[in-house]
Amino acid sequence: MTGEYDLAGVLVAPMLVWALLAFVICLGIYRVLGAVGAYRFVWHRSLFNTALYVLVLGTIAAAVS
Amino acid sequence: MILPGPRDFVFSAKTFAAAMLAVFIAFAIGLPHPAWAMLTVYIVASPFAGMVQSKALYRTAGSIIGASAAVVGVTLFIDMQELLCLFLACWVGLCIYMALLVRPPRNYAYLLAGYTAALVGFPSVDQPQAIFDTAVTRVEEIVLGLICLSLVNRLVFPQRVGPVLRRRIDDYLEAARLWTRDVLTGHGEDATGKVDRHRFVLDAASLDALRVHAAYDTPELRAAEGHVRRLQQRLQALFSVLVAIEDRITTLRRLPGVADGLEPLLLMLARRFEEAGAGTDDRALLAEIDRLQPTATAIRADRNALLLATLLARLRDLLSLWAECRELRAAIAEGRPASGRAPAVELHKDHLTAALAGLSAAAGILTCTSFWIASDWPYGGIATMMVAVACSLFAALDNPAAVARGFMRMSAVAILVGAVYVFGIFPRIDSFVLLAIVLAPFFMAAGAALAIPPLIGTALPLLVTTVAVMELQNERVIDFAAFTNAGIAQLVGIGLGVAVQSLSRPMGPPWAIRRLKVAVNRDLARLAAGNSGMDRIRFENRMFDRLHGLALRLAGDRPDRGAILNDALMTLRIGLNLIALRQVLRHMPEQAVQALTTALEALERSFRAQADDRVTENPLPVLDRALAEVSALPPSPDTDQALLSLAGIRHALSLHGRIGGQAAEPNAIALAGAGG
Repeated sequence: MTGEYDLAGVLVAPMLVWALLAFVICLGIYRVLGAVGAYRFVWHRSLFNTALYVLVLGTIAAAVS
Repeated sequence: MILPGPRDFVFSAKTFAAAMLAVFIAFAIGLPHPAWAMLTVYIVASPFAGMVQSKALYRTAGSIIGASAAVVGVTLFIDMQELLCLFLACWVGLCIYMALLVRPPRNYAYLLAGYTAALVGFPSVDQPQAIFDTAVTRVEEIVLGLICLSLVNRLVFPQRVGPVLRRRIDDYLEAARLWTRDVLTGHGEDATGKVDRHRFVLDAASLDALRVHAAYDTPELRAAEGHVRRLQQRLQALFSVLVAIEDRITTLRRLPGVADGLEPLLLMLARRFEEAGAGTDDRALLAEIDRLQPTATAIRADRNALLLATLLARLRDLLSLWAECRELRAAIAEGRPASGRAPAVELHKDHLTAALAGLSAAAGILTCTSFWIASDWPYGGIATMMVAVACSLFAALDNPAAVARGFMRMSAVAILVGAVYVFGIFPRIDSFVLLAIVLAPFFMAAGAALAIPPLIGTALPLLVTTVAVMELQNERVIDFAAFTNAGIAQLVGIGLGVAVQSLSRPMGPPWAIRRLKVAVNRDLARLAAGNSGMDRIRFENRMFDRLHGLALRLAGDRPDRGAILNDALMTLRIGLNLIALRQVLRHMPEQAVQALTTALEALERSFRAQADDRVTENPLPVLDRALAEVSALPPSPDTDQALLSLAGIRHALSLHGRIGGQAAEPNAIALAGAGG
């Protein structure tokens, strides 16, 4: 684990930064999946999206630390 | 008594799970007030995912703004208690004022901005150094609660707005069809006709309440929102057309000879609206309408022919609007995306009532803080916070004091429930699992009531206050004196909120109805004056919003209900005719413009007078002169239109009877003269 991020003097927990980053990345992925029509093959869209988010967040955390 | 069903208990279990998840995380990461996260879950909880989403969004935005305002205030007025209290009181008042000018769900952000500042700011009056931490943790806990609720709501048995929305649309169209049939068969003023018309207006209001949340539901529904809005606008237009048709038919039926040719046509039309799915081919009907059309010379020679011509024009509108409505309904059902931007919805705004609510809240808060500062009461901060909350939550209601009183009663019960937990149960448990188990029975039972709209007013204060007084904490000190003091402060705060509101806004629905009447007359005066800020869509939107407001307030068995609604409908038609008249005014010959301008000025004066409850001259003679002037002109589409509009206005005013020379009724309840 790295230390806290320093945003203009305010120390922020790394998890928060990763979570926001993962959220932004996921917004892009959702849009692409929607445009391609991949959601037609998904049973529970919200569940799918949440799982995808956890995967992305996990990947970021693993890559950084 | 309405009992919750299995579906409501599923909802309750979901909400409780979300609350416990939020509390667990708050404990785990060491947030100081886990109760705030749990409070948020219960305040925002709603059976529909879209509603949770929209409320969550605006609650977050409002909390961040409010917390920032508190930080700014506390740093600016450090060591100046009185000024800080004044600042916070004004801020809450301002937010309430703004909130009353916008509609749900957006008004929620303003309310939250107001009382979050109070919740964060007032505890910091004594200890300003902690303000930043308090503000940050408050926002963190609210966001945590919202994330937990959204997750559980979306993942576990999600309940979509979509099917409900489609059902409401069908209800609305059905109500429209029934009332159209009533009007065409001449039963519009019978008991059934009135019931159907009332249903039409109420269904419109309930669809609108749902539509605003649909925009935050699934992407498919978001796409349909534009269609729904368009459908609403078509149905509003249909409504005004029907009102126009109704009294033309009534007038024509009284005249011998004219109605003979009309009856078969009306019968054909009525058959068209007899069954839900009957017929889509309008050609035969349109041909029949064309056949009855009187000639241009006949319109000028004969007032009745003129009336018939306007009726036929409205019947044509009726058919095309109905076809559009069915087309839009099909588009929504098939999920076809809307093309282009849907027109914005313009709503009735009442600055006076909003300002009054804001000022009374600020006054209440100042009273409480003066007492707090003067008496050095250590729990005065809690009382002040509750004044702000009580004033904010009920500001939008006609009779906030009565509802706030109910809130206070349930809060008292909740404090007892909280006492049982805090002193009877919590000392005996020592783990989170046990905590969840002991909380479950009460919260599951009360939470189920949250899913049933008529019970929300009882269940919400019970749940929220219980959570607030329990003050869940990792290591808690049991202090009977502190608990009692805080409980008393809560009740005193809410009580003061009730008192302020019953002092400043004691008038209830009659006041609201009166304000609607004034606003209607102002808009009519603006239309008569040719104010560029008013167009047809905007006027229709506002008028329909006012009709909803009236219909909701006249829900009971008030004897003057029919009269008030009729007056409002009449004004809708006068307004539409004024718009049409203004449009053709430019293309008219000189002498007619003169007469028409005089008539419009007379109308403007008369509407302004109605709005201010003054008496002015009767505009009917001036209108008649203009009518004579325009009748003398050679026929052209513009003069025909001017003639039809003038006749429409004159017809409505003369039917209305209570206008001009006669004094407006002193009784504030009646919408007397709204038509004139």
